[in-house]
Amino acid sequence: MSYGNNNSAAAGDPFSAFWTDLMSRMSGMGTGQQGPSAQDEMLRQMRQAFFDSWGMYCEDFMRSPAFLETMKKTMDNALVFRQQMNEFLTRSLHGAQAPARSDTDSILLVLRSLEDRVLSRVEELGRRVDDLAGRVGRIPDGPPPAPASAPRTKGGSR
Amino acid sequence: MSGTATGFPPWMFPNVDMQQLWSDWTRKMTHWPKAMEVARRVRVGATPAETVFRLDKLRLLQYSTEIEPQFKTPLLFVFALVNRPYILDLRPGKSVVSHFVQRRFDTYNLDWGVPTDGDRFLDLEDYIEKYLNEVVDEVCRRSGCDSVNILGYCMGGTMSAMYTALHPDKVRNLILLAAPTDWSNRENLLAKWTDAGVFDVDRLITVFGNAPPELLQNSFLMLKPVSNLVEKYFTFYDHLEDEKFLEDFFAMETWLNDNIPVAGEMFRQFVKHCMQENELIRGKLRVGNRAVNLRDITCPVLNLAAANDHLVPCGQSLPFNDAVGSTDRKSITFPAGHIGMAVGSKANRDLWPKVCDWLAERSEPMGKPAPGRGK
Repeated sequence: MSYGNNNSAAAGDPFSAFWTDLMSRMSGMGTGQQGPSAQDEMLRQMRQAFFDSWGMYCEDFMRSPAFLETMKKTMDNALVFRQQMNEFLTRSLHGAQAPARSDTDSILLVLRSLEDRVLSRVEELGRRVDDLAGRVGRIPDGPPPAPASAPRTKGGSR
Repeated sequence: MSGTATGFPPWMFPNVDMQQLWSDWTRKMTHWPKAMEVARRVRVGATPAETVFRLDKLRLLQYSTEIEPQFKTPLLFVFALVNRPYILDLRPGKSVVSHFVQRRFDTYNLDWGVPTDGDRFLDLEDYIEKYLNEVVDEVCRRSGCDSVNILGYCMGGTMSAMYTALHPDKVRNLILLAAPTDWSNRENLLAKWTDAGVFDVDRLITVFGNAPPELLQNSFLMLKPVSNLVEKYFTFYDHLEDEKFLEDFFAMETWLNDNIPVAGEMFRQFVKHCMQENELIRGKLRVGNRAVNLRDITCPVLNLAAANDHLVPCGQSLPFNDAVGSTDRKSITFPAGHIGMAVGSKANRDLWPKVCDWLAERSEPMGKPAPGRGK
């Protein structure tokens, strides 16, 4: 299984070469010290503590009744807007005698209903066939019922 | 250069060397083009697989292996309807699937496909009784078995539990991975946001048709905004010179941003009946005309919960074991997050070998009769 794209960048393309050279030169303006240092770790810990407390603050805020109320109102307003847009588009399309989404939805519902009815009818017929097959099987001297999918033999008795 | 020379108060950054920071930044920036190249060439999906069955938009993948399966009963992965199932086989070393393939299980993965506007009326019954049932029948037909092992992840685990309750004779072993089944615990943020008083799912689906992927993606991101929108990119910057990290990072980002809509009616029923009214664990849920009774699940059950899961806390997944009728049931709470259970290095090293052992102990070796399975 493979997903994702397969484009690979040309190694050493002019932009990459330019960028690497530029950054190397800029880096040379520093102290020349390479690699991580103790201060990196200290800064990382400070940053982590800051993010942790910020995250906790955000979570507390997003649990608050004020936030939940605002979220509900925002979503309600967005849905009202979208609903009005849908109604406008439906009216416009119907005005141009073109089908709208509500029409395709109606067709889909009819098809699903039709599928349900056909399937329940087929299941009922299947049950009746099973019942009949059971009854035929109980007749003592009758010929055994041939399976429906059995291949027809040469010179068969049909 | 000392902290006093940086312009910051000395108590704030006592030993910050600005020239060192500058040097680090420029050194990392030299790796930027390489990082972008990694982003372009990163691929997801570690184990070779072929599509062996299609039905409407779903497809069934069978993972290929040159070695003959050791166990007769096949294993079917059932992922959620949100996002794509290749998270279970993301990259070499981060693949749940590969553990089972290497242990010589005949392994399948169910890709539900991407619903379009025409699929908005697909509901729980369609997904459980039509799609999942057809897929299980197909796997049984291909393997010559009368039952399968199922591993359901997240919402896919919940659906697997429903299916097993409705068709207990078709599931030999059930493994749930971070699967919510009991929403009576409403302390996590997602439960607060999906509360019936806050989230009007009926209206959302009436207006949009399907559940929009942007809404789902943004909701998941906002559950941990600092971590997902800020901290992640600082970590990316820290590891800009680490190619292995970059490959994993971009593979993960590929999956995180590969969002798909959820069929409207299915989403509405799942949110309303499961998340809001908690009907599954209470035995009130109906799929079509049939009631789902978790007591009907009698096969061995392994319930895997993530201790640091912000989407499905342990309180929503662990009560499942007390609700089923199985006598052979076990739960493992592992110190990982919701996604870390599948792609985390620790889970791949410590958890999944144990899960393979659990399943192997309960599986029928090739060429031998089923141990103690009365039918």
